[in-house]
Amino acid sequence: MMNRPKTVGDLFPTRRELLKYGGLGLFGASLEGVWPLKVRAAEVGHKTRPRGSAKNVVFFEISGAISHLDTFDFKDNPGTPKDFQVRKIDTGIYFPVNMFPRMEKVMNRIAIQRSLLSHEVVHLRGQYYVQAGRQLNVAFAREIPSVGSVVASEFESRRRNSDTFPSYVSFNLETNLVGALSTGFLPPRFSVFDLNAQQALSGMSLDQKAVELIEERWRVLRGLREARGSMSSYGRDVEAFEDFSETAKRLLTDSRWPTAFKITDEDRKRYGNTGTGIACALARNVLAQDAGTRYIHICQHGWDHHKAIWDKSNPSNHYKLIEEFDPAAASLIEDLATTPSKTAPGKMLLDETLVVLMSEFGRTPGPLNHMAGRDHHQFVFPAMFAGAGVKGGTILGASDMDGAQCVDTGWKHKQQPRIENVYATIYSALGIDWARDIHNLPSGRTYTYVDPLGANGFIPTDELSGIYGS
Amino acid sequence: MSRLTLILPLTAVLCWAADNQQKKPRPDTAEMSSDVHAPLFQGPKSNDAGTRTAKLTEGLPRAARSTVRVPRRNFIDDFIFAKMEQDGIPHAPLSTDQEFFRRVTLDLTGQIPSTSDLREFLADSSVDKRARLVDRLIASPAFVDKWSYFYMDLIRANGKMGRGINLFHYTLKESLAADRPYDDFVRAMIAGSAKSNLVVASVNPIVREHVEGKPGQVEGPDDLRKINQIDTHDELTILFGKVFLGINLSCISCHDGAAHLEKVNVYLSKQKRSDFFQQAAFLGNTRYIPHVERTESIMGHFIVDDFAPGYDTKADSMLRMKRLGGPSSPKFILTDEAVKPNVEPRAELARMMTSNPQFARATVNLYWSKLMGFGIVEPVDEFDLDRQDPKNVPAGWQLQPSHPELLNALAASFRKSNYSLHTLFRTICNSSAYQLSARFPGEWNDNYTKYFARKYARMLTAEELHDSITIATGRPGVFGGGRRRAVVNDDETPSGPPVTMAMQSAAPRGAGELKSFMQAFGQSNRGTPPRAPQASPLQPIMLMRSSVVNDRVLAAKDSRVQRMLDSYKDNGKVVEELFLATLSREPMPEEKALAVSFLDKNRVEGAQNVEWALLNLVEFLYNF
Repeated sequence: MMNRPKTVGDLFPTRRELLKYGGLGLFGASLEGVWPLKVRAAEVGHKTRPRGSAKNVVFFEISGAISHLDTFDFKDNPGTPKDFQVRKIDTGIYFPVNMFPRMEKVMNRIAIQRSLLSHEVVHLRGQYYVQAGRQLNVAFAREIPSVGSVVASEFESRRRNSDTFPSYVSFNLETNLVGALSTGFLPPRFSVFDLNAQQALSGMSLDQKAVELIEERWRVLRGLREARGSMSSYGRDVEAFEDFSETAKRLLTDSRWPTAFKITDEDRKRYGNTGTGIACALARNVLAQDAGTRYIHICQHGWDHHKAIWDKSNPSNHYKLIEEFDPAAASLIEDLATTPSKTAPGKMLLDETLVVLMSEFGRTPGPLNHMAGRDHHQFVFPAMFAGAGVKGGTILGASDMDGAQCVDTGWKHKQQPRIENVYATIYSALGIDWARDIHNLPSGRTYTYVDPLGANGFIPTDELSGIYGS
Repeated sequence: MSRLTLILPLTAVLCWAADNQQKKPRPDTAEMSSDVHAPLFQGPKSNDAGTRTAKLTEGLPRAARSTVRVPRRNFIDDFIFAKMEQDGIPHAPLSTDQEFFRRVTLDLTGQIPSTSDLREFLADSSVDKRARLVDRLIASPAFVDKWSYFYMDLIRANGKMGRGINLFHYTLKESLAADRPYDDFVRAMIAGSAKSNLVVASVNPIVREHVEGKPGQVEGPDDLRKINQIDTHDELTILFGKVFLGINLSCISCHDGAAHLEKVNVYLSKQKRSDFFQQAAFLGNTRYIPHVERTESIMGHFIVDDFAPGYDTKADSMLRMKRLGGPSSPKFILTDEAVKPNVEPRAELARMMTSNPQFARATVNLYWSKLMGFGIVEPVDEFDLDRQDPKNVPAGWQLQPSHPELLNALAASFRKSNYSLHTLFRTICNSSAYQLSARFPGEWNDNYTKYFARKYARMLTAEELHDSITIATGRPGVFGGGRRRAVVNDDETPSGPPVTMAMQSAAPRGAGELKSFMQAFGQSNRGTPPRAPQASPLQPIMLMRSSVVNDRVLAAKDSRVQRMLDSYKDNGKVVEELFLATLSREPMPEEKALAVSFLDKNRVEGAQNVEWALLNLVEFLYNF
């Protein structure tokens, strides 16, 4: 059946809804007039039972691929650096504690699924998989949204009138190979708000003078708009952008937003004064403001050490990245665990936030390669989870003694879990039915939130319920 | 050239529309430029005879049939307006001179016009001033910059070309400036071979698509497996199909169309992976060999030659499903034509591709979409070849082109002009269809969209926005980080003026704050799959907070604000100049009074704030 666009359907909000969302109702520069989309959700009964234990998600992308066997799935092997001090920690696993002094303290909050299988060995495709939750298919990639945008669209109805922050925020996403993915078939208002962490500090935190300047300038802007009159005869998109900019102003002058972008010297010390450290501190701040952001994606890029992985004289090496990662991730988890939730009395932010940390694949086990590095390894690698009811210290699945192959899938299936299952877990935690289909995409295809047809055949789409201790 | 719109009986209009683009000479007339004061509606047409094909207009109110009379300047207008008349679709009036001047300057050069040019144009009373403006813009260096940058985005020219990117950019600009026949340029890109892409410009698009082989497999500096040769053939086949023919071959590069594409593309649902193999086989003899300097292969410096044994349909793939064998002799997918004996397959591919009618159709559709808002076929790289003929549409589907005869006519005209892009731009920009206003009086109905019943407002691209801010504020951009200069000499010393405009760069540039700004507005990084420019919540924030705007509105460093304040004592004059420079129009009395009041309170801050506000108006961000 041909899917020639019909009238603008469910996705065009009323003006009131636009402002409630925050006026982020712009329909994009070119095609919305031609391709308005009537999206139809599957009428099938729910096959999934979403857990709904989380209101927020923080997805920490360890981009470029951390060497799993030297870190979270430690395996002693000829390439292990001599300066590692490896000990069995409380949760029962071996861990190079001197490399991760801060993370060691929070490992009892973290559940590790060690048995993931990656579909990809190529970075761009792997990193695409991490953001889109499905394999890159260039034939229709432009239709495919990132998972964060899907979450933003699902959560639209839950936004309160007081919410001004964008639902989906990311930090340093432009440093990875795919950048920030678009909203695909979803309207642009679900777009990611991608920030460079260090620049955001100066750009987004406004002191009193800066706020006054914006207010003054806004008076000029609004006055000129009123003097000129309505732009409605130019089309809906144009009008919508003005609402849009109204929301931007409300966001910038909402005292919660600049507050979210202030960090103390203490923060800088604890999190580390690095791009990643600042990104994690800001993520904490944004969630603490409870002003509408629900999905945060942090990207730490640069782990792809095909050469000189443990060579301190090399400008980039695993030591350096771990030094940046360790305080940042640990501080984030600690602070989420001690910051009270604004909506659930007696609970902490971590109780309602699912934190996920993973790479796009692992690195080759055994001795180092001929350039003293490690290459890509898809066959087994771990994902870490914390918060939202996750039972800290749970260790699921296992790799062999080299960290090369999976010997225990860590759940009820014989097949190893994959990134699709990580997304099933995320959707489930957020209370979203991940078997949902969206029909009538502009190309005629159907989008399934978690597609049972993975890259190489059918896969189970279960969530990783083992992380909750069940 | 134009003619008075005659009141014709409806049947005559229908005949006229069906009559394929007769090139009758058109008498000149005085009724050339739009009359701002003409009534928007002239009442229903007196003739209401005959039948109408009403399938696109079911449910529309009858009163919507009235339209404004506009001169029909060329065959584009014949098709566009005849169809609207036939189906009773109202359309916008012609744009005013002020609207047209800003719009066509932005569309053709990516820049807002200068104040003096605007004043001159508005004062000019000659009948052909719009056509002469179009000519002048096409002849300008900014036209070359903008449309070269566009083409570089289209073929995703990036670091994978190595230093060849500058050479290719230079050659592209030369070709565009000289209006080199486009088919000739494309044949050079398809069939070029070189000992070095740093010397032969045209092979750089080929070099960009190289797919590196599996690491660890290579045995020595001469091992061809450094590059996955067959995967590279596939990537190029897809690129050529997309950019030159407007068809998306990526689906069938992995699997047959059957059982996948029935809801997506009728033509492609009938193609097989073996058809793709045979299309890719035209490149089967081609080799992509990275140069070795010292001991490292330089993935950006390539030999491209044709000594390979052929397309191996069982070769391993880095990117695709396993190839399981199949026919490997070259066969052109659109015509089933095979390669003549003793002729190089790649040269044959170049010939077959550029002589196929689909080449001209896809090209004119692409540029039409950029100028008119969207293509006659949308998306421009998803042609369904089985849905192009109005007399032969598969059951349950709609015809894909909104104006099939117009598309054919544009393609024929393009071919006839010897594939002249300048002529194509001229033809489109001189039509009344292009010159309609973006303002639509009355109630817009989404059904009118496919008729091109108005000019569709579009957001400026990141590069256009940056360059327009530069012009409005008089503060040049700084594209540091790497080669700053436009020309790099043989000894690698840079020379020439610094690159201050985004569209002058061979590749997307900018660092820090500037880069964040550009990325927020959709600057392509030319690496990932192409994405449509899209609004995002970050954009208005950028316009309000970024130093790209805030630094340049300051009365400092010889900015426009500073110069206006220094040159004119009268605040009213300052305001006027700021409006003209930024929005390309005079302020209305209420706007002027308000703006002047802010300057009266505090001259410098007021002027800065007014300029800031002008840059934040949606009017600045959009092209109407």
